[in-house]
Amino acid sequence: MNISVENLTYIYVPGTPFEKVALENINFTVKSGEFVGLIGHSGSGKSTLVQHLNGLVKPTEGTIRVGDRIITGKNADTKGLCFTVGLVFQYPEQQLFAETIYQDIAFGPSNMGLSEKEIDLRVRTAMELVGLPFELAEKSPFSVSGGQKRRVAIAGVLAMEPKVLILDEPTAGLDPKGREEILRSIRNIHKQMNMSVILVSHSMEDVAKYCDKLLVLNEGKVMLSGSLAEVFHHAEKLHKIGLSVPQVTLAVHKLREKGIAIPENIFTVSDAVSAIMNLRG
Amino acid sequence: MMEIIKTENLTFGYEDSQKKVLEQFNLTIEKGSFTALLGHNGSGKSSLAKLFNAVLLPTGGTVYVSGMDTKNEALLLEIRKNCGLVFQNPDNQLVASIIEDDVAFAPENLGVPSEEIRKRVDDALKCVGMYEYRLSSPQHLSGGQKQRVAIAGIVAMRPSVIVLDEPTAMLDPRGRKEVVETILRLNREYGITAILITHNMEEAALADRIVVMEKGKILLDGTPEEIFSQYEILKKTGLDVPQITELSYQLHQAGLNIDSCILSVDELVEQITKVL
Repeated sequence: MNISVENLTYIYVPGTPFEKVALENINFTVKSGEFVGLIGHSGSGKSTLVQHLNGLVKPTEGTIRVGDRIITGKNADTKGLCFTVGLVFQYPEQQLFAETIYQDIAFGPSNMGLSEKEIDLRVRTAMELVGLPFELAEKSPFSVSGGQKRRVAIAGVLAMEPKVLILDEPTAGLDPKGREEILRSIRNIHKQMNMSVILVSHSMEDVAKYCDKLLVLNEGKVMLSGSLAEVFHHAEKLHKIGLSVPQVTLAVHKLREKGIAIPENIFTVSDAVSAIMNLRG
Repeated sequence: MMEIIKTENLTFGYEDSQKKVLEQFNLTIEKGSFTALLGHNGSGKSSLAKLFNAVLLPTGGTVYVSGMDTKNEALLLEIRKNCGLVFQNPDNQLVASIIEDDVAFAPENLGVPSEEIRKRVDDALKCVGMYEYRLSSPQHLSGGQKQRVAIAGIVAMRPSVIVLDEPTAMLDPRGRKEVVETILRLNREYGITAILITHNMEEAALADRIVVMEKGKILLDGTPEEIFSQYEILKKTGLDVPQITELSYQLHQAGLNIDSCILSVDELVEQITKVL
């Protein structure tokens, strides 16, 4: 499902001494089936922006389209929007509440008014998608490990079968294996369900590995956007706002400075290995 | 070298669980060193951190901090003064509404004379680079700044050891960098022994020594070069190596004549340039 954001501005508590422009004149589109990385340092407006996309926050100005509907303005069509655009918050395991993992995941689909049978199917599918064995279904969500808790929370959103999946730093606080597993599941879900995915992340290495397109926010504005190549080309600019390029890309840039004829657009270890081995002929 | 923390046959388990978090755990930390503690979630790292300053007490064996047995209740204050703990979430650690009050909290509780407190608070805030903010409120700070204030709160106690439990997990790249640089400065310029628990391999690579834990035991112990050259073991444990090390390992495997365990971008670039 396409998302388009036009001239979006959001002012926090306007008309008070605390008034602050949180987002200013934001424009971007996410096409159906794209995997977009949203990066920017804390306070740059990432979380505020993604909360606009499922109608949790209303813009002060601007238009947002999700598929065929316009979700902003006077005639905003937001009914059931939270089922279409699934938002996984930071530390989503803090939102677990039900007695069993099954009930927790079933909560969203139950609110959609689906039949028992359909709900059951959705819970099973969602658990499979995030790699949780169904044997865990009757366990308390509070009795499983941190990484598993997070999977339960993500499954709860997937069970609503959203067309767009937004994840706000889904790997924060996880160990390397947990990170890798969660990101791989997300990639599989993206492919299998043909969802559009927006991944908010602080790791350049992760967005380089999983995303097709990047959007960089700085002080509430879009500073860079485009393909990985277009964004990571601006290493200096990223550096200035406290971000970076992936380490391998940095190494490639330095090799080029030394006059080695290696292609510029390399963002993952495997691409770097083949490019460097190619140079040897 | 003098030892500052020592665990002897340390065993620890939580009351409601049969499982031992740590078992017959022996570790010695040298004074003035900078150690990174790695291990996947649930490997016992955080419990160990809390055992270091008597938030938790051993169920078997002993923990010594500067020679003091943490089970000795009479020494509790002295132990906590010696070994300060910084946690993951910066928002959970600040108590006062003014930054300098927050940093003064611990020395006040320790009964330090007020002139001395003034001096310690100023020193601590300078040491983490937050002196200019001393009269502001913590709520307007970034995550990295809050974490540095939390560190200053510990520094003001003049501890010999500072234990940081994933202090950068919730921070953005800039915040991470600020905190890591602060830890390095505390260690190198102020001689404070630092123990850093982290999931970030690039951060761990900056330490003098890395201890890898698994299932409550020490799996690997050595310099970053020694540890990150154990590529297969680390991957099997669910850990990782820095991305640059991964690249040097893969290139080495592919037959390029460079070291298989390179920790910095510059070193890698230099070695590649030589062999191409």
